[in-house]
Amino acid sequence: MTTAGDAFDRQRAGRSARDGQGAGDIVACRDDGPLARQIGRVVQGQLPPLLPAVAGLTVTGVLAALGLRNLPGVLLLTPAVAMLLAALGADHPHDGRGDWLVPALLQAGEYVYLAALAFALRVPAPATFALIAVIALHHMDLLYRHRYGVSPGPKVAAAGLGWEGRMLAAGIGGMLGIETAFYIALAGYLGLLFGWDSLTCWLAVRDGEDLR
Amino acid sequence: MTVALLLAAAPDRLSAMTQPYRQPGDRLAGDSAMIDGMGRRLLDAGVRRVEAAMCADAADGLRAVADTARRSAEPVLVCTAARVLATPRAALAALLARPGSAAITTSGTLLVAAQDLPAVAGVAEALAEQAAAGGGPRNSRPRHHLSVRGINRKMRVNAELNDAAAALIEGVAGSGVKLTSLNVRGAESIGRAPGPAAGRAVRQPRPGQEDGLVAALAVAPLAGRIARWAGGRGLAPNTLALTALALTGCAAGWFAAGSRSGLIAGAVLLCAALPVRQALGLLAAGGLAAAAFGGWLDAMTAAVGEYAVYAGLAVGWSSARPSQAWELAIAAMILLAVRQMADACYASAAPARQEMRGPRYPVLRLAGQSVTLPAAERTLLIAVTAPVWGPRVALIVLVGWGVVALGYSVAERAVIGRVPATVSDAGDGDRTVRSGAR
Repeated sequence: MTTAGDAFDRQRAGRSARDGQGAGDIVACRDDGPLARQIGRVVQGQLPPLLPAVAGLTVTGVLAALGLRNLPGVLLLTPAVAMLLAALGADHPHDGRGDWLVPALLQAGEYVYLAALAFALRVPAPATFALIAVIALHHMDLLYRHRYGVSPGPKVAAAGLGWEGRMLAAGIGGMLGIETAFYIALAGYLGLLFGWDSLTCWLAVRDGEDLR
Repeated sequence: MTVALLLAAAPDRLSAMTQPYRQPGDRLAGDSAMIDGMGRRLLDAGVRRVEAAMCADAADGLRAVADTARRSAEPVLVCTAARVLATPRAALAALLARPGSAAITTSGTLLVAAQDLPAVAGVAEALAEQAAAGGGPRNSRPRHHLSVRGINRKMRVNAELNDAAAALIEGVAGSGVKLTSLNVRGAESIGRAPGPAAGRAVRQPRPGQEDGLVAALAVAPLAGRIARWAGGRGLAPNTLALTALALTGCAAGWFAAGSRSGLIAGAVLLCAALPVRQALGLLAAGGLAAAAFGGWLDAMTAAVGEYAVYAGLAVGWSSARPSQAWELAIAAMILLAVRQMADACYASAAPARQEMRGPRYPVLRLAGQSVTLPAAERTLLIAVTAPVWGPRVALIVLVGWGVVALGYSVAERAVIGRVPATVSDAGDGDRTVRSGAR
């Protein structure tokens, strides 16, 4: 039986083995939302994260290649739900040999799904481009913020929905037939949320230098 | 042993009254990630306990200082989150190693020795009264009303707390307490200056900023010249980052025009931005916090500019005739973002390994890096293909080469992962780390 303390010790061991916080970097770059965290807690980090992520991405990729156009209603959500497999690894310390690939795989799954869904439903391409660009910039911001210990707070992380939340939300938007308005609104909302949070955080960081 | 008092902005006045103190790791509302991060940094440096005082304004912070100074029997480290971030680890350790007398670091972290606590409490109380009476800390600078700081409460309070900490140091120095100024140039404070890797600040170069044939052979001499010129003019690296973004943005605009002359103008502007961006890596970035901010700004402006160029190419192509332009632009962007994320995660996770290719053939090594399509190669690719064959070919080549680059770098690392890591030579640390950072 594994207790939270054990998991913490394992995490620490993984971190010290990497000589720094490399593994912590990787967990922070996953950009898990509240749902993924809940799912990850079910297996308490017992499941290595790489295989579920590869499986989820494969299913998403195959479905996207087949085309989502002919899928009716709820089935639009299939790739997003398949990708939720990867959430099982959310609690893992990501200290395995290939675990550095996991955030990139999650990101790829999210982008591919958002793009395939938009093409299938004929969402204007600039809106799709904007949404994916906002999310990609957010991921790069996450990387830098974690490196300097100024990661976004849990509120902002939850408001950003996480990769699984954004995929499911886009799928539901498509299901309801409001995909174009939804993509534009989501891009605007995420852009404002992440942009404001990131800007205030980094200006506060720079303030530390003003003394001299 | 030492207690650290971290002055942090409370989410609102009510929570500052009900929850005046917190410890890192508490799961409560507020700026917990920041407090956890800074708390860990302080604990790593050797502080026994970290207390975060949640303040609604400068007077709150000063009262917390006075309160802690009256209660504590051991030395107290007074700091704000921004100051902790700006203080190199070496400077923090040096500060904590001398608990016998009051001392400050160059970045404004104050250590109060046990015998000076009553005097400091007195100064803090006087300043708190002054601040509560509306005077504000003595050296508080006038803030612009229409700025991010003016709108965002947390930032405003944090700025006030920084000013309060500075005023406290001034007051303590004026009150007759012997204050030593520590001037430790820690390894981390070297920031982005070129040279051997030192500390976390320069351990991982930003994703996308890597060598390659073009960057090393064509851009580097120009970048050096620009860096010298900018250094002579006193231009900050951040100005250069914004200049590069402006140039790239103009290039994207010309690409969007779609005409032959527009494509040529865009290509020229895009090429002009390249040495400017590389030059800003050569300029010294000041302290740790400035280097962190500069690195972030550099990476974000580079990414924004690049995405804008892809969008510009797509607009320029699709205005000619209906096509797959946007699909290709989105694919190119996805490939780039995923590759950068994989690179960054690999660089932060992989243990330092010895360079696979020997340094005897630098051209071969650079050519190997060129296969992974680094920033300079991408720029040149667009600048050549777009005017000559049009945006369509540019986007197709970008996507095609992007797929190859992604496959190549993942496969290369999978192979390296199979080879057992040899004991790496400490003197070769820079090279070994950089091998993972494309």
